[in-house]
Amino acid sequence: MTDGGARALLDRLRANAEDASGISSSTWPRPVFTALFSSDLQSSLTTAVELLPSFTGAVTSVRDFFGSHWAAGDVGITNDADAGASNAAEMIVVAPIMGPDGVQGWAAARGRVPDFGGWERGSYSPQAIDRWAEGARIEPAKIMIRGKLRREVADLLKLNSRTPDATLRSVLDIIEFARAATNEGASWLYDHSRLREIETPRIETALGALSKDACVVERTLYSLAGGVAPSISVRLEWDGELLKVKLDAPPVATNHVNLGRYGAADMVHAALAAALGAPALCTDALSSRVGIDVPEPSLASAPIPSPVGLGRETTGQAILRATLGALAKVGLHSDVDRAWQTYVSRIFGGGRVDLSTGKLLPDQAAAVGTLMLEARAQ
Amino acid sequence: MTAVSRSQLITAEIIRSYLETVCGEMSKVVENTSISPIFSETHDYSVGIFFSDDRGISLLARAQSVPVHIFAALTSVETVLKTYEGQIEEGDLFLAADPYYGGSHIPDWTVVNPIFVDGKPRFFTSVRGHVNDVGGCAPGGYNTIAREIWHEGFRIPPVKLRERGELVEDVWNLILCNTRTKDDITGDLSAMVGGCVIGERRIRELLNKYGMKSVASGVDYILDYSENRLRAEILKWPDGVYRGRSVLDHDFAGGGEVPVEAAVTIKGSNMKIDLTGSHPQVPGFVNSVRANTISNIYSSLIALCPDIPVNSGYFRPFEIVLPPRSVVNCDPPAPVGNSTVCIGSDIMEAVMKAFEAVAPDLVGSANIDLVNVRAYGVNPRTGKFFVGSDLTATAMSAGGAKGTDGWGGYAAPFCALKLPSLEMYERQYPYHFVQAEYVTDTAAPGQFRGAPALHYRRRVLTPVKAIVFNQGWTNPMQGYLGGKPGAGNYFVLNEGSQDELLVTKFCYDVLVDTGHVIFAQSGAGGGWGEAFSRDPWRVMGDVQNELVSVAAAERDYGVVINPATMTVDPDATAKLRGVSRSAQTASGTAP
Repeated sequence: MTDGGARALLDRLRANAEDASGISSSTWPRPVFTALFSSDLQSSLTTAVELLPSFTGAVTSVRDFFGSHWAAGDVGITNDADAGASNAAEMIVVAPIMGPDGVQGWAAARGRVPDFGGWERGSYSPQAIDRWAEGARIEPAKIMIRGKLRREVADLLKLNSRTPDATLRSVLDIIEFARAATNEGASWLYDHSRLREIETPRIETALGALSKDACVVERTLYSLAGGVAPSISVRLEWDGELLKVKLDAPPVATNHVNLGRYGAADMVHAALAAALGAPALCTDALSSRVGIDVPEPSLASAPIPSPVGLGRETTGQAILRATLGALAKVGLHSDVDRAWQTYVSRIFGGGRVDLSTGKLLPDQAAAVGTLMLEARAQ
Repeated sequence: MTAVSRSQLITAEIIRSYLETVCGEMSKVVENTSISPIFSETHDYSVGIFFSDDRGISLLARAQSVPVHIFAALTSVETVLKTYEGQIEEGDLFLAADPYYGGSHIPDWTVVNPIFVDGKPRFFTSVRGHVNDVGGCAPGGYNTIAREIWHEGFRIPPVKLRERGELVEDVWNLILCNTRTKDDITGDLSAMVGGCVIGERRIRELLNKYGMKSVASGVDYILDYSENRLRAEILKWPDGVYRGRSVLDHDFAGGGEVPVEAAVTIKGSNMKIDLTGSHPQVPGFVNSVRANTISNIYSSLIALCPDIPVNSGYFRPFEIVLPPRSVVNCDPPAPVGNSTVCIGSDIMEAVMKAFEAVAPDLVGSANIDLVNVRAYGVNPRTGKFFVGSDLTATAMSAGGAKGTDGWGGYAAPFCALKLPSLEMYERQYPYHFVQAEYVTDTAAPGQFRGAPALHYRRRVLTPVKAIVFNQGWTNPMQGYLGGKPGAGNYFVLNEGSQDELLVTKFCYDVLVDTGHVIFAQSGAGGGWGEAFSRDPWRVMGDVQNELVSVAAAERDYGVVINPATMTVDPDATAKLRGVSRSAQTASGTAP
């Protein structure tokens, strides 16, 4: 693959994600992100490098669950926060890229559905006492087998959503993104290291300019249920080869401000991508130069049964801001507020949650309500 | 059934008995192989064998089981068949659990195993069991503050768990990952499947021995036999319209009393049961879907005619009318989690009260009150999350009936449930029981009294959270023929501490700290007949057993006892009761 070919491929993936003009507009709400992986998951290409750690986690989880039982047209699905999803209503689908000798690589796509149970519409549930109370859980299952929608899984998805048809339509749309990526990925896989080679020098240049002094930045967290707000700290250490990022985080919280597994790594990536220029990054080149140490269990990586639904917007935001603060201390400056706003715009598709209530914003809750009424009318 | 020979009748009866025995074996398999105490100890599951022909699906046999499972299991099998019409293959096995898809409440999972004969699914073995956690917003499946079905747990439409003999592993796992106690419930679900598989094996042995034609003929006999026997009973009862009423204290959503009205019309050998007039559906989790309501109606009838085999023939004489969008026939997405017993038992009670004038010698408390505590946390012994499925606290003790006092166990229709061993609970959960005993002067007075209330006190050995749901504080289980109502139910959390909380309605997710005590008064059924008609010797016996105090003997029963000698004063008793001693002697009740 030539540089131009690689860039064109990425542009097409992005076009799918950001424009999606060729795909049904029912996905709720946009955006949808895609990623491609080599069969060993060592190489990757994504439309959202901010989500690469959790994309990798999800693909690993789905791939491993089914072992060698994959065929062309199969699509796995998960919303498991221990496997990379951020909220019960975020679905990650994974499809194999098949070649003559079996699985050659993987395509994945992720996006939100209008609702997947829990206390509140849209599955943002501040009163949830654990993961199950936030919504239905999908540990890896196949939503499609050999290109055919799997009745059992589709029925379970629908019945556990307040907006059954809209939820299924959204999942099918997300699957279409994965399929589109699968088609593109076949050519990428022949030379998947090319894009990484393009990105690596830029990343090395940026990181090479960093001071080798370790630094620590603390950031106050979102106030938990009116209590004293704890803080999280990010320690950076650049040794010329690897940027070590070590988080210190409070214990697991009882409410939904925890991050699931990979959430903290995602946010560190998001900070680095923001500092380095996110749109330009699309491969695992950054990941290969960053080592992230997250305490577990903690607020920054809370395994089941901890609720996690609002983790990215709260604890995740703090990690992003703290990481950017730390980067500034070692010489890589950026506008922190703007970086967060860009993240919200890019990854969340704009504002989604009212942080004062922990629930879906009123206009979005109303939109879910409209879909609920449509469902009842049927 | 058309004219049959004596040998055919004998064969048919053998088949009927065989199928019931098979159900018994299936039930034992589940009991002996399940993990959770709610299965292995409490026995909150039922098994059944079903048959499919041109008439549809018929229940053929069941093991001694939980009544609210009976009809709803039938509708679950019907729903599976309808959902997968034309797509059922040999080796498939199904699971269904959703209240709005033929179920009752989300925790009642039904495994359905089709058995193919000549290329068609003709028999079904099925196990319906109450699993101890179903995810959702409240551990233990009873969300006291639910306002819609999605607050109550993971919903399971009919799905294939096994396809052409192969386990559908991801669906199996997807369902189980939506429970908080996956390891235990994996064992329980496996036990349910095992019960179905054993049942299939036995049915195949039956078919090998007698052939499909004889067995199908036997099915006709089985259904007709129950129908004919029930019709014969109904014919004994006078034609007319009879009414009964039962009332729930509250709807768990701030609303007041929730009445159930029953009108029973008997005409010849037919019966119509109409619940029109019952309360509209409510915001809280006591709404009942149609299948659950009908199950509870049949449960009352089964208590009235306990020796008739229960199968689909039993259901034939009935016409049932349920008002739409009511608490006895709700529309989605109303929450229904507590409905199997509350409002279910109130449905049973309203129907039973209607029979008070029809069959006074047969009526009595057939219901229970599902008042309970679900305590959950991390068990320090295992390091694992647990949900205490504690049916000790359920107000289950029987009321009186003609000829017998209420006994300290589940009322007759629920007698497949077992009172769990407290010692086993102490092994399985971080509890130490400090009290479990009858309480003096809590038995409902009557000629045949109810069982006394039980007081349970347990100390928790680790911090737990508790959900309590309570009814019967203001409307305890009713008495019959002048018998008084039961003692009612209530809870106290953190008893004796600064955090003490009296719970007469409900609470959600309340901390009970290490060493603190959860108290429960588990009431009982009502009495039967006028208490002043009770044999004074029986009252004396109750006093000696400390079930009734000397004062209550006099106040409630009109029996005067000398506390110094602990003997009945016959003259004072006769005077108090307003009847002459000679009259008592004549009636055989004189001391």
